Amino acid sequence: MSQGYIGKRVKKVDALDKVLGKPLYSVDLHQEGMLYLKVLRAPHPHALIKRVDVSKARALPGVVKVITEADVPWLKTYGLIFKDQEVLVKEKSRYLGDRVAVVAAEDEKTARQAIKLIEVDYEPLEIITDPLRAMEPQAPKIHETNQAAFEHPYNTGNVLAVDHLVKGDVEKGFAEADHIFENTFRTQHVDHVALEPEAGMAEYDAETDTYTLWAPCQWTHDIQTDVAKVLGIKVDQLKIVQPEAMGGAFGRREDISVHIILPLMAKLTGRPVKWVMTRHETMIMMTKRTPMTFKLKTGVKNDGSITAWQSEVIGDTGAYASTGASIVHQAMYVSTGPYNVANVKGVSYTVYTNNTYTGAMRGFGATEAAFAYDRQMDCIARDMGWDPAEFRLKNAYRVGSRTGNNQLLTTSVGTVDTILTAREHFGTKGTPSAPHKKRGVGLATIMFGCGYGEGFPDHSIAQVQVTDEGRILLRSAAADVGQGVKTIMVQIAADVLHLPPELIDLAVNDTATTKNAGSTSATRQTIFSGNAVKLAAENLLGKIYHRAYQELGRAYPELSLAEGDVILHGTTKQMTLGELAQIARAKGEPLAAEGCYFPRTDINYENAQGEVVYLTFTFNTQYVEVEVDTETGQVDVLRVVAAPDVGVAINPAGVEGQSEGGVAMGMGMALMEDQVFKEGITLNPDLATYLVPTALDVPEIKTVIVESGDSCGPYGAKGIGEPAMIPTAPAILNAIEDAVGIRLYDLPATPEKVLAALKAKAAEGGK
Amino acid sequence: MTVYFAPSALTEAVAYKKANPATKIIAGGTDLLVKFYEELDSLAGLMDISRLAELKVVRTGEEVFIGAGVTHEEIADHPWLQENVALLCQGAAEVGGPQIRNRGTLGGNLANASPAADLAAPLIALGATVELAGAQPAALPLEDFFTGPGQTKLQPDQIITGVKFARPGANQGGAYLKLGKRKAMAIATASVAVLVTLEKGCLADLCICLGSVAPVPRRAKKTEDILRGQKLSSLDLGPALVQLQAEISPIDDIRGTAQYRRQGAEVIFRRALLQAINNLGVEVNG
Repeated sequence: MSQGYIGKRVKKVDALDKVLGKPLYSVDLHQEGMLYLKVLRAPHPHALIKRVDVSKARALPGVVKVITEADVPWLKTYGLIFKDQEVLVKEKSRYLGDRVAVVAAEDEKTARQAIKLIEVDYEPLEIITDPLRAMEPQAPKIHETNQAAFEHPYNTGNVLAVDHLVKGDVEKGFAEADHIFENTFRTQHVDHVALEPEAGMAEYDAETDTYTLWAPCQWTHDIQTDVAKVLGIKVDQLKIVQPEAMGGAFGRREDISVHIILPLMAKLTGRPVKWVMTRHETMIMMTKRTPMTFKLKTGVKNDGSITAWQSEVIGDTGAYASTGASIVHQAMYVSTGPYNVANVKGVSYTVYTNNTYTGAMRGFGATEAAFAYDRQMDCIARDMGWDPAEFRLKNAYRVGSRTGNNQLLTTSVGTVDTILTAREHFGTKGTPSAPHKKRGVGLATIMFGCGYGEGFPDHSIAQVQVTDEGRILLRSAAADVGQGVKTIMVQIAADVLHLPPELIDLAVNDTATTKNAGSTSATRQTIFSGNAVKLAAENLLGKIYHRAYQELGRAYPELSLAEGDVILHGTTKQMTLGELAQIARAKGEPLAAEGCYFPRTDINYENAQGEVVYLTFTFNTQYVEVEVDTETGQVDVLRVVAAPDVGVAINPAGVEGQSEGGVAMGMGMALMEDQVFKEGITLNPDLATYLVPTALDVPEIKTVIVESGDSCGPYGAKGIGEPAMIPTAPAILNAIEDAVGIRLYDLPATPEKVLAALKAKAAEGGK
Repeated sequence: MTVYFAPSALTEAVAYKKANPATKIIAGGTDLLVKFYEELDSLAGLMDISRLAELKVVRTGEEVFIGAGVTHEEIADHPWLQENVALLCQGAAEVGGPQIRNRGTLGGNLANASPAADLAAPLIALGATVELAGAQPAALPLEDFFTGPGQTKLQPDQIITGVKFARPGANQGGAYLKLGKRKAMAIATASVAVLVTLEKGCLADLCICLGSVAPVPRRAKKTEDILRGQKLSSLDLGPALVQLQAEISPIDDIRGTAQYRRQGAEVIFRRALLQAINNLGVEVNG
């Protein structure tokens, strides 16, 4: 039972400092005598690099160091899963963001000038931008060394991974169906548009042969491991310090950006170095949401029950793997959504191209999949004459359902509740504001598996101790990317220890003094670091009680803890926590404890079946109302009602914040965001041409929290980060179809596409 | 080394520009600082005219003058302008977002010469003249000022001081509409300004200027000819809309295809025309 800080709108612990502008972001970091880095990117998206001449750049006054691959041939390759990425390219470029040279100069201006003085001779190769072209046998190989270990006709060198899912007998399922529905859906390249660009600072200490890196990371320890491997050093030679504040992450800060080049250049120059990417550079160089094509085939009986579902997914991972293969197979795994299907068959292909490489972004495949499955469900409902909500209710997961991965859902399944709650709070649609406008309502219902899942070792460790001053010091490496995990951890520690949150301090987050908390991704920190903190705090509470018992000679119920004091009931005797901590420390048993949450998941990759493939699932239904301008194709989102099932809301304000941000992000994906490539070159690498919704575009968002409880997270909580955005894009496109009867299969639904579909529909009707 | 100079009087600015013709003029910086981001040191010099009081003047009356240093927000919020030239205020209110409107100026919007400039189309529809300071003061119709994307007739020794136009009469009404991909901070996919003159139930005169559908803000004069003199009670837009297509030459770019721009221009032109007429209290359908 909660003691009073759970389920409360506790103010974010870093809110005031952020409003006052106190915390330093990476861009703000500064050291005396530091150098500025700039990077020369590839001259062509796919080319053999024949010659790089840096002599003029080296001769420029103010330039301290210029390096190419030839200067650091000992560097290893890197990558989150497959180590397929070079720090500096050796023989060829595979996308426009590949790095050819790095300059360190006394100031940024000189570094910029030096970059322009570097000459590169290259021999262009065919630029592969379409995954279907990449899969053709005669297509040139982007990675000569790709030795994917599978037998498949598509394994022609550019296919990074092929994954399968088999549940039941899909052919038998189709034979049982009265109706078959086949549709193809496509998602696009989306940028994370974190407010803070990739940036950081590093220094090297020659005496101890150690490096310090200040740069944002979603998982400090994993980046530390990867960087150490590339540099050929031991992990404890590199300390990564998480900057005080991070301007967003959304999955991208799981990937290496500045993290290798900064410590490398700090050592090579013997000076502190800083590197801040421009927006233009981050748009071209850094990961994107993986574009995917979903070919879905669904068999349905006359009574509306689904008998079979077949999915083929092709994902464009771009020039490098990052986590692309996992994202694409996860999209395929969850491509039946939260809907009961006995017979499922899926296959996914992750393909290299010369586009900007892709990686984790809010949803990790589940967002793309939901666009496909929730459009598919809506199309089926409309074609069969079902009310879209009723059709979902008919097929929605309940306790006892088995997922596509064949996981039995035993508890905390809020699918139906989210649909009913969102529908009730949504009410009915209004009347159009002009004769040429039409209104529509759409919904989407999604699920998201929290945690890495699939048997990937997944854990978080937290430490707490009582200081001599009677305060609690909480150590965790969990990255607060703005979502609020710091606050969640403080609430939990306060709750367990019967202390006001003000008495709890968070230690500096660095790899030297914290233990691995895993990534702020997979919607896992509330569950993982929340549980770790809860376990640590409970262990600490036990030590406090034990020490108090030894010192004061009483036990519960005569002894209790309140507001930082150990109180003996029935006497005036009491002791502060600080006094108790000092005594305990003097006796060699300090009041310090650790908690680790390390649950197990499993999967059989042959058929993607398992018992606990994901730990628990967050469900979310969103209803949206849109107004479509039938003459211009412009779509206004008028209002959104979101009903996420988070198990238990540890901080309702935090859930609402995530929900609102998620909807805004989902709106961007639905209506406007699209990184446009032409021959591997980004045509819109800035925020004047790559558009995201503004405050004027985002409507009122009402979040009604559903608490199905009983999850594996602390107090029954589940995560909300990713599922907050997942239903938005399909709900909007479903609403557009409701408004004007056009069936859109591709994202984003730009005014141009909407108008073209309207005209095509009119032409069809005119026949 | 980039030389920065901030004159305190227009005469000083003119003399400096004459002596340093390569110097770029900066006021709000909302275009220049973006265009030369990370490249400011490549500029020969910057002359900051934001302190010139002469350029911050708005003179109202039968003849209206708006100084080049007046910001978009000042135009959008100006009560007299709202009352008398609402289409210009609509254009100013469509520029970027609040931060850009508070820094960006009329002079900069014209000098930058974007085919999408939100002030250009309404001012051309109003028949505005652009006033230039230099060795000799000069003035030319704004309609003739733009020569291509980012290009104008402004000479290296000249400075835009403002625009002048006649206050629309009681029988004149206007509207400015813009098609963008989002509701703020959007560069127009297509835009249109219309000023109509109504007499005795007729569309006695009109001026149409479109943005983002040609290399420069484009008057649709032949479309005007077709509509001029038509009775409001039997307004026939059909031939005018056909003609409009012949007078624009949009291109495909990241903001939209030529085809969509054509479709959009037609829609917003029709809406702007009807809105301009309706703004005079006359109900028409078209």
